[in-house]
Amino acid sequence: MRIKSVDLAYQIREMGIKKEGREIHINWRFKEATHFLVFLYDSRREFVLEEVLREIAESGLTDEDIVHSPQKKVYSGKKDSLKVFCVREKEFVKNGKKFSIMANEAKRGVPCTIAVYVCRYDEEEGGLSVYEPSGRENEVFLPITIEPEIRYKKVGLLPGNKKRMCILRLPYIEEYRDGAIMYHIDGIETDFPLPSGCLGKDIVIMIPVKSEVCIRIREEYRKYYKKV
Amino acid sequence: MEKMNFQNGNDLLECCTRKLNECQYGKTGGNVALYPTVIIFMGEKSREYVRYIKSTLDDNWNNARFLQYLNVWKTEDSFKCVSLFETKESGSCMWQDKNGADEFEELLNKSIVKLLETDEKIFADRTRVKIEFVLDATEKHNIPYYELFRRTNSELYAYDLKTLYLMIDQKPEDDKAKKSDRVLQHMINDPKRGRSTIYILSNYLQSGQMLGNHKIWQNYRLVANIILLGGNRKGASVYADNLYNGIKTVSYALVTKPTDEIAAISLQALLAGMYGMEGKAAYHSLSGKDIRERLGMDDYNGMKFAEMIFQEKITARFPKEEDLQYLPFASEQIYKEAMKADRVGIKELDRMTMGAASAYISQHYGEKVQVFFREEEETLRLKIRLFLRRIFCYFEFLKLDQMRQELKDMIIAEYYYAGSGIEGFTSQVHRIAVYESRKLFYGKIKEMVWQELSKLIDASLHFRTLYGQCEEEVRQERIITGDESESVEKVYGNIVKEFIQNRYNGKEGFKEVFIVDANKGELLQAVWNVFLDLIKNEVYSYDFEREVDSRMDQMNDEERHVFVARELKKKLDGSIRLKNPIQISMLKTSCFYMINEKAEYAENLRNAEGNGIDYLLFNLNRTDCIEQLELYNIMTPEMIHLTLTGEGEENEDKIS
Repeated sequence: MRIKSVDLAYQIREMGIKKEGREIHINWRFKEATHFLVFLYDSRREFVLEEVLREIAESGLTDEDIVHSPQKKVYSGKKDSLKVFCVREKEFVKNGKKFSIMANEAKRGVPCTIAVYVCRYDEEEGGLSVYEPSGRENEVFLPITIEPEIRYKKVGLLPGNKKRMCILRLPYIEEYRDGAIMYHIDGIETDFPLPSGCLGKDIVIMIPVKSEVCIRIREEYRKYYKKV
Repeated sequence: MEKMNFQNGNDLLECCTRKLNECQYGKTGGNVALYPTVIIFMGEKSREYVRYIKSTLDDNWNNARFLQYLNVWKTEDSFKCVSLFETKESGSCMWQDKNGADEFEELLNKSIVKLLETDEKIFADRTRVKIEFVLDATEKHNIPYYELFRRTNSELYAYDLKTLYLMIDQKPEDDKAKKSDRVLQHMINDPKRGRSTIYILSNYLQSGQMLGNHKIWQNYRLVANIILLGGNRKGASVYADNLYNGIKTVSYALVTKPTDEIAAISLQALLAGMYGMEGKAAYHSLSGKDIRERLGMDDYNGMKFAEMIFQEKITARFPKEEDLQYLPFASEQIYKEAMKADRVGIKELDRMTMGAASAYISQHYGEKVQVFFREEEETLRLKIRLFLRRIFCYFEFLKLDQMRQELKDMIIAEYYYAGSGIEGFTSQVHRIAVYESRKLFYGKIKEMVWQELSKLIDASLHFRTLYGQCEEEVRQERIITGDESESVEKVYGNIVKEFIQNRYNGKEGFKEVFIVDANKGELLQAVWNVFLDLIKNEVYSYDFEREVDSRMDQMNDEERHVFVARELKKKLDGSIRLKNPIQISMLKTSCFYMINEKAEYAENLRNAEGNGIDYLLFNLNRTDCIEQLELYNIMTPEMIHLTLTGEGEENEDKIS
């Protein structure tokens, strides 16, 4: 496989994603292509196309193997950190310009990115050419959903008490980025970032008696996490 | 302030000299050119000296701007010509581009017509046209140029006042003397020469003195003087007779106010004096304590200047202190413990809040600092630079160079926390948070202060080099001529010294010159501005006589006249503009003094017996010089041989 520089004829546009039951459907628009390579990987990992293609080549996979594979999935990296699918253009179009994978291909609790690259296969020209994207329209994210448990408890017996206790519990998240999830208290301007030490356990927050607590995801981490 | 564009000390000195010369012009006198006049420079070499002729004519003739200047050069089969024009932007003169050249005769006729079309008041006598040819005798096509001169006549006039100024070069190198001799021999032996007026002006004087490249301009000024004498409306008939017809040469004495030297000495003294005085004013030890004080550093290694920025830009963005009560805790019990605690440290806090305290402090106190530095780095660096330039002068930066490591250690020493008394939980945590933020802030800003200070110290070292270069460039331009230099140096050196002292007494100093990160152009501009202030002293606008008087121990009138006459004679003797191996017969036909009519010496000459008999006076518009010319007819031109063998070069050009 070789990488070709940006060519406006070989680009992905308007990529969309939809989860339906056990399947994930990905759709996109394009101009020219013979094949598409679909990469599914951990969003927290750096993705460098050149390195990935090298890894695939080193595994012994040839261009012919990839384009003629009867399976959609052509390659899995170490510990399933990377999965590569190949779609023929004709099949993609026949399928209503939609490509589907099983939802369990995306590992539970791991935020994923799905990136689609336009390819052109020409035997005479030496195989499969993979075109670089002009922007980031060829990517969609599958963040993991965060479902907090929030309970409230009265504090003290005296009437007129201005505080109540909130007990917040967030699930443990592997390789969590400290501060990615925050809690917000009604009427309080500042948000409170949560480190990994606060996950997987009850944490106690004293809040004004009429306030409620919710969680927020810090903007730069919204491709990793989303709230229910 | 006049904004100039100086590249080096030479440019500055030239400008200073020009400025001093500007003070020397009286109100435009009553001299006007009588005839329409065209001045033609033949070939490439002489045209470079147009300004020496043009400036003299412009200074003395009110209608000089109407004169026409042409440059003619030989092509394969004809002579092409361009004219001089004045640029709109700077008012300076330039030759037209050669691509737009006309045929010589055509342009000459156009120029003459242009002159004749001027208002009748401009040239009083239009029955004649003066055509002045200037030719460097070493031009490759010197003979064809001479022929061109000889045969040129205006289509409008049968009779023209036509003069050739043959600029001879008698240096043996590059066959210059041979080339000059070739055209001379051709001219002398030309049967068609008739009574053409030809002035021979050599760079080799009768005394054996050779005019070098820095003095050859005098011969071109001499050309302008002869043009003035021969074409002036006032005294036209009196001057004219001896100026035309035949082969002539001139002896010339120029006694001038040494403006060049005054400018050079004043500038030199100013540069040295300012540096010395500023250095002296800044002379004091600069201890570590002094530096800390200047930087506004406190006992905790904080900085007043930095603290102000921290308060204004960072603390204003902190969250409310009371929000800290909403930090998460491991349990209700621990929460209660925390609220009661007298003193908590960050480790204890993180234990109680499972690390949430550090995360909160990092996001809401630490990131504010990061964002601030990211967004405002450039502005901040500029503020730091201005602050440092305010607290240290150039000389102090030089001193700081001697103690860089000590300086660095002092500046970047870590900011530390003094501790506090007993407070409530949120106050304690807020203070810890603010301290963390401040520590981060100071870490960054002190590094920046050190970097900017380091750059300014480097800039000061570079400035020192630049300053030295400027001084050297000015010094190199100064030509020391002897006795006069001593008195000029003494008098003007003292004037500058006094000027500098007065500035310091008035607490002004020269801070505007010693801007550490100024480039050379900016430094020279600053020095120029000081120079303009210096020359407001009336001494700089003295005319020649007053100036001499101020230097020469206050002579009385008679002593001064004797001095001037002696100086003129000294320069006139042996100054005939031709040195021939064998003596040739010359007849002195006239003597002219070119001097401002208001000068005392002019009065002296007017009242002397010889006035109108032995010499004539011409009113010069300048007040800084006295010129004396003696005109000679060469009676035996056939005896002129510039080369000892008498051999000229092979005649390459056809003689028409």
